[in-house]
Amino acid sequence: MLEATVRHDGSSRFPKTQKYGTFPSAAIGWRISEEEFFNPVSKIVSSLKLKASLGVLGNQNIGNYPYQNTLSTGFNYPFGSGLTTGVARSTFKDPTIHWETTETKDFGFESTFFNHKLEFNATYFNRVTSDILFRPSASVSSILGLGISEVNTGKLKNTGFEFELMHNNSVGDFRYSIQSNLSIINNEVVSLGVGNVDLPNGLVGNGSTLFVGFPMSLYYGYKTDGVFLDQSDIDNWADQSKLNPNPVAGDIRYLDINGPEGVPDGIVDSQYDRTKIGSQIPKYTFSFNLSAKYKGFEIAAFLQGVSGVSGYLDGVPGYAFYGDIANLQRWQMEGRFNPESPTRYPDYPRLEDIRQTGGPNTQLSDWWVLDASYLRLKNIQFGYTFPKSLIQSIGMDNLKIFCSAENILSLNNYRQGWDPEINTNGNYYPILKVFSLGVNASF
Amino acid sequence: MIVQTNLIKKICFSFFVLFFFACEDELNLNPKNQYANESFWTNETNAMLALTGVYRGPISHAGTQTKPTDWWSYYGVILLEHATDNAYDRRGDNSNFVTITNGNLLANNSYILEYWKSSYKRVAICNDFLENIIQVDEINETTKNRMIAEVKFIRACQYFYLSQFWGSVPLVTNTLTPDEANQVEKVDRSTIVEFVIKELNEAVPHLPRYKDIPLAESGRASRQAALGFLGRIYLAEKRFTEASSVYKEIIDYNDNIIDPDYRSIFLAENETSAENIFSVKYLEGDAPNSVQLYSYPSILQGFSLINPLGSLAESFEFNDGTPFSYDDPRYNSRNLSENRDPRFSYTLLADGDSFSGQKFITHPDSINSKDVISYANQATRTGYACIKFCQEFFSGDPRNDYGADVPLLRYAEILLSYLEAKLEAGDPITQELLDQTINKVRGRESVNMPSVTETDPDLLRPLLRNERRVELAMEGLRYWDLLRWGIIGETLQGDFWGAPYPDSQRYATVTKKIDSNARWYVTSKNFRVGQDEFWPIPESESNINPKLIQ
Repeated sequence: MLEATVRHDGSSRFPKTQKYGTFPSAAIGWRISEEEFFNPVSKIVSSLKLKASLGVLGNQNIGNYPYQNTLSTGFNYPFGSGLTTGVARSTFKDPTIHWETTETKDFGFESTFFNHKLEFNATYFNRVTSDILFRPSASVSSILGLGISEVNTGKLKNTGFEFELMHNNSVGDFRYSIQSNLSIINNEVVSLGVGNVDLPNGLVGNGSTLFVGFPMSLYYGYKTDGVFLDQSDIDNWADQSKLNPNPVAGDIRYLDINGPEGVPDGIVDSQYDRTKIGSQIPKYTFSFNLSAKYKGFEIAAFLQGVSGVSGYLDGVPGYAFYGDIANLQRWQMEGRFNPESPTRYPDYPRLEDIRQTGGPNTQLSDWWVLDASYLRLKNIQFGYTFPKSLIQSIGMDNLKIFCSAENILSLNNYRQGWDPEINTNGNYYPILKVFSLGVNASF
Repeated sequence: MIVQTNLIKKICFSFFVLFFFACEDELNLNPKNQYANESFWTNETNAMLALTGVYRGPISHAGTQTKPTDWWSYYGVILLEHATDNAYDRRGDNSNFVTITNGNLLANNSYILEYWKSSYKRVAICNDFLENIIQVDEINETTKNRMIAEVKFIRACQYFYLSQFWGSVPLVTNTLTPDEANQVEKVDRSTIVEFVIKELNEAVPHLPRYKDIPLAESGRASRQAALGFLGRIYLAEKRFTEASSVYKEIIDYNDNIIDPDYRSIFLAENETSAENIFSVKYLEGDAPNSVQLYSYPSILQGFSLINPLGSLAESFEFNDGTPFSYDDPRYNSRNLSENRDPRFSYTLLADGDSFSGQKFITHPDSINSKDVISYANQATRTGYACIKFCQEFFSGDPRNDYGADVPLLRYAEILLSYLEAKLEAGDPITQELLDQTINKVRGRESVNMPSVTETDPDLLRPLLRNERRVELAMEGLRYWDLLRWGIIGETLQGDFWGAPYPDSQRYATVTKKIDSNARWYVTSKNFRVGQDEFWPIPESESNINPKLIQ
């Protein structure tokens, strides 16, 4: 099988010379199991298909007029006793903006075994997105003085595997099926474009979230080693006055990991002592769908999860007495550093009033970055369908009772009461547990 | 078959071509709710739109603010006093204003970042204006030159602040690309200072005099405003002779006055007084500020955020011109404004004072008062409140309905700075000079403090500095004054206290430290001499451009 397409797309969002993009793609497939030489194994392997595709996709999913230099309204000012209308240039726009392209290469196979009772599919994918249309606000110095509109900046690579394994079978009246998915993703920033800054510690990136050779949205911060126990502990530790000018017992001990000479220099600072401490993009994503049926009884469950991912509980969820709005959580109270009986690794540093603007202990560090892996039982359902013979006597065609529960169980290492699936801080509505009981009847 | 295929090809090709041409127009669109830069810079009306945008800059008009959106936003002006010995931020020692000068300043301080960002935001708007105004031709030259001068003045003011608080910073005078912005390098403080002086001098002749700006244009920069900032930078640079001649020029224009009614010039009723040379403009409803909400005590449903310190309260003299002292029989802890410089009650509210018909009770023994002094309640931390910018019996919502201007440059400052420049330049101090300057300020009808007669420069200096502190209290100048006088390190050191409560039963058990005058303990500062005089480059900036800290 062979299929090929070529698209030629135009978009008003790009300037005159850049409006059009050409995007070819092709896919081939080969059903090996239909070839004659395959007959000897066809009892075991019911079907086998090899497939491959190559293609280029275009993306213009951005706001309108991103290339025209404009003056924004809303800059009014009250001269005299009335409001005078004003405008100002507030956004940088790139006059050469053009299509973002993604080159995709997929290879894989689809196979079934034992008379299609077992199915196994695997795909390797390699997607390289170039000229990414993105507002690189975190990668541009505020010396620019302007907000930044979408520009073509950066290159991103996603490679990985997707696996599907399915099995269904029946033994007498008992029928069951299992479906499972696993994807493994390696996300890598190849280039940031405008934010490619050579940092003193050898990394290339914007110094906050994006670094060449690492996944996007990195947690980049300090390594820590517990808290200070007393003044002599502070005196003997690396100088951390650039993070915490006046440390006291119970403050986080930041590690000195590097310096201008490539070795620890006795000073903890933002230039040399921050490193990768976690990734917001899950490496593994998986799900399981299970169902079984025996006569009138049935059960179904859906589980889902991720691993190889970090979460960051800051702000209201993370800090006690934060900015006049956060309270003290139980784990903070129980796990706090207690000056009466100091311990090196409490769950929470000394209790203090923390402003919305943060403080010495709230620097982004591995203290606050948590393992955000989880496995969640999204849904489980039991049902019973009454035998027809029983219900027809009372004039019914069908009667089924069922109960289901959603989000009742989650296995994770997160702080009590917080959910790694919602990987954000601040206020949000928690994931609801839903229990339902139902009757399905038809007459 | 061959003919047919050719035909199909031709038809397809024509469609293809048609499609192409049809699309070409539809794909060229211009925005309808913004102004395209290339067609904008044509006439005076549009130039005025852009000039208005320059004045607005990054200032937020969203009522309550949580950060200084500009050097000239009320939050950026008045709350900066929290970094000095004049006031304390109710949000405590970890407030990012307090940490700037108490020995805990870090490169990730979010307020210094805001000042930094707002400066360069305004600079970018100014640069864009200056690059494009040249092509406007439907405008008369005088008007055009005035606008250019105004924008140069505003841009120079940004670099004035940057030079004073950071010293060495990047000097950006044209529109940058993102790559250029990420690579820009710092220049010496002296280069920034020279740029400010040059630009202000270029602006001055094209700016109209204060008296020639009609009321409808109030808020626009006058020649006196530019000269006032020129005087400031000369003072900071200790170029006192140049400073005094600039101030003399303002005085000789005779356009401005010392308003007889001190209190009114900070309120909407008299915000356009000829004493206020340059103000940041606010307008109730459309462009409000929340300074009242932040100033009000709890009894008036305020946030009690702005808490004047005892150090400021004590700098108000007795009404005969002698310094305040807790040992003096005229001191009355139950009525601190009694026998004092009248500006005490125009600026501060102390225990037992009334405002808008409500009594402000902070006494530690009055445990049922909403405003009882404490370390935890949403109430005063010092025993004082600041009412300098508050209108009594204000009937609107203090969050959105209050729109009094905040003065940035007053004639009183000009007179005091003139005297200071003369004094520091070593010029002879005569009674006549004192009467033209400091005595005019403190002798105004509503203040009526006795004249200063000290002509010995070394004895006059502390009197003048105290007068300046009292007269300009809470107007955002104290930090800069302490910096340029070189006394910030010794001043912001040690314990700071609030109001005295000598007759309190609970005092000793509730204050964190005991004072011999029974003053409430507020905070301790430990300004790091040799380090904190200049602010560090914000961390988010050095992240993206490591050259800024190398």
